[in-house]
Amino acid sequence: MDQKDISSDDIVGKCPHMCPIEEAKLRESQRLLHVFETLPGPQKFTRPKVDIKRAVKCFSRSAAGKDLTDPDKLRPPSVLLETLNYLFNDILNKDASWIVKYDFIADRLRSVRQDMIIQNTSRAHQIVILQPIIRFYAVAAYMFCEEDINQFDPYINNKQLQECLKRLLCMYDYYDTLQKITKNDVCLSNDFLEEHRPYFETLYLIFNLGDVDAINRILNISKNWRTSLVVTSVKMSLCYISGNYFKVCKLLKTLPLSLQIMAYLHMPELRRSCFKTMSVAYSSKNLLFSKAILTDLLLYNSEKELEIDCKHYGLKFNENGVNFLKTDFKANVTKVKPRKNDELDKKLKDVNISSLILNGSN
Amino acid sequence: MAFMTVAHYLQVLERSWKNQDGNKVAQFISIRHDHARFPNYHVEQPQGIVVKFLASPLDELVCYHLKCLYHIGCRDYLEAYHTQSNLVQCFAKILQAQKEENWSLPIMYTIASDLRLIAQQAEKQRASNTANPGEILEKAAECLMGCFRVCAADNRSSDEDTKRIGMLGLVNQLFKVYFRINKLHLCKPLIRAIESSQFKEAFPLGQQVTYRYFAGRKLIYDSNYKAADEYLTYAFENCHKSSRKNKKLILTYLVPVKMLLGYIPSRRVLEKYGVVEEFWELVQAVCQGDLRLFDELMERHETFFINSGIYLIIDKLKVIAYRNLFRKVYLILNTHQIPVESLQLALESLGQDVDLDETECLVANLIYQGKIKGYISHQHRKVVVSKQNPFPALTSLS
Repeated sequence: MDQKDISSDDIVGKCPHMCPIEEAKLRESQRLLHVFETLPGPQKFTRPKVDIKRAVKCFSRSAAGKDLTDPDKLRPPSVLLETLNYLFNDILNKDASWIVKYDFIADRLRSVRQDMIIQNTSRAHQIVILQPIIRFYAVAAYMFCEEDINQFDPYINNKQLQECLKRLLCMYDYYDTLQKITKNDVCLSNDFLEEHRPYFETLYLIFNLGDVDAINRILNISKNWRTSLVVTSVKMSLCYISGNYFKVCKLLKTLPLSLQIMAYLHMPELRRSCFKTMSVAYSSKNLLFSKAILTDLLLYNSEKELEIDCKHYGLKFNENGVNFLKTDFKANVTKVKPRKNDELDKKLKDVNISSLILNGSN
Repeated sequence: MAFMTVAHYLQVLERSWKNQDGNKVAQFISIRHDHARFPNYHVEQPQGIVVKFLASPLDELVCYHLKCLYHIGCRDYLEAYHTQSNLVQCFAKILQAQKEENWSLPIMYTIASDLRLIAQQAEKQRASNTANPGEILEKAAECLMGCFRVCAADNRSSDEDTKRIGMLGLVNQLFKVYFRINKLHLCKPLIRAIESSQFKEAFPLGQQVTYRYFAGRKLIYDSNYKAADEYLTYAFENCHKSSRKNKKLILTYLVPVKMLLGYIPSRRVLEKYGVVEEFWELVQAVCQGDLRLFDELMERHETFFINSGIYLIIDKLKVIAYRNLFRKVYLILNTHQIPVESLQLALESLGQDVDLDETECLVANLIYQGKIKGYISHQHRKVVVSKQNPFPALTSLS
């Protein structure tokens, strides 16, 4: 089915563990083991021993003179999937601070991707591996958006998310071309691979809300993928471009929770643009815009939050409402940091994050 | 019927090369010239006969050319592509060695576009077992970049003999490739190279028209409509009047851009160039603020809009339609304080799913863009428009 996979001389990994023995021993001797990877015991003063069942291969950058292609140090796809399961089930639910868990998982995910790419793993495997990784980065992007930059760097997280998403979409495209060519049932048997495609196409659009390339991509793929979810997100993106901010917020609420949180991350930018427009369109010395309504329209948690933002952008308000004035809006100030949304947080509490990441929701 | 013998053909080539007749050589080394159709030119092993008549470096070029014709004759476009690609690379070296002369540029134009055409065919043929569509075309572009670098780097020759004048012809070929494989971001450095070239105005007119057409499309993609208007207008006005197909192509992009800037194309022009079907109803929908018709047309012509890459700009025309609809409401009510409710009602009657707040948001954007003069009172749910010229002509906005 996949000529390239069969005919080429790609390396095939042979490492049966989540971490190659050699690396485990090395890190043990150099005291580089993570607490999640050691055998329990009174090890305060002695050197921690490695638990090979729990050690996971570290990410290490490719560099000149470093051979990354040793089959004994590469994990085959089945082990990579096992590793994902371990990370998202066992580690994620561990009783430890979130930052420790996030750092550990994010690092190990990069090594999973690295192994996958070095081996030029089959497209089918890449799809199955990338999907949960993307969900993880997406959820993390929202969950930790309020954290200090030293704890959680949204830029790095988003970069990983974007890279994985683009790769996944390329894999989907490959199946599309294959399907067009073979037109037989070879691909039908692979339907489960594309089962989540509309979801991830939407995620890409929402993550890149208002981005021309993202919209053009969706417009140009087969119409089979235009589910109502995809149509809604295209509409959202178009509304965002044309400045129909209230509509964007309204549509946001119709998305599944895991996409809502992603879309919610655009709120600071959206509100900024909205205030900029409103400070011209509603410009008047004595007219007011009700705070309660604006809080509602722009999905703020409270009027207090709205006031903080207004102050930030130089807009005046009193107890009765916001007083927009053309000259007040400060265009030069940085946009505010994303905030979490109470309502979404409440809903997230009832969600089993492990299963959301591994199996997807809907 | 047969063309001249291969021996004769080689002699003509040899003479033209000696006379530095670039155009003649170009014709005789093109896969689109008459001779290419005749089987006696499809030679798998041409070295024997070629070296009898031709000296280096021409012999190598002609060998590749005849081999390429052979592969095309066998319908093996992938092999033909590889051979033509060798030909272009070989030519790049020859070009580089020719100091202070540029007579061979026509040859470069011809083999460059031949390469692109063959790559397109190969792409089609290989689509049956390839994993990466667009790969061959991308490789072809890399090959053309080789020539481009030779041309761009020629800064010692005098203005009459400079090879830099050949840059635009290559850029146009590269544009065609990049647009086909949807890698528009690769156009940017090319555009910069041309814009900063001292020969910007000296390039042949035909090439300039092509260049402005593609650069204009790129500007649309980047939402820079004012500049796009300038480029496409130049292309349209300077495109030869007998090239009706090209004129039509240019109009496909120029019409939406002009409309967005507030100009209304006349039916006569649309008719003249055969784009009435695609655009006339759209013009009416926008002018009359008929959003129902607008939505319907978006759906009906969706494939055309998407394939031409104008879907997004057409979607933006909706703003103009809103403006025109609101103006109608204003004229009917004949008041400077327009109830938001009336505007919403008008939108709803045309099948738009909007509430009062969203309607305000649409008006707010129009005011922000200067398309309506006035302000909104949210408390009274009224749009208060200026007593003087509340809906300024769109063309007056910068």
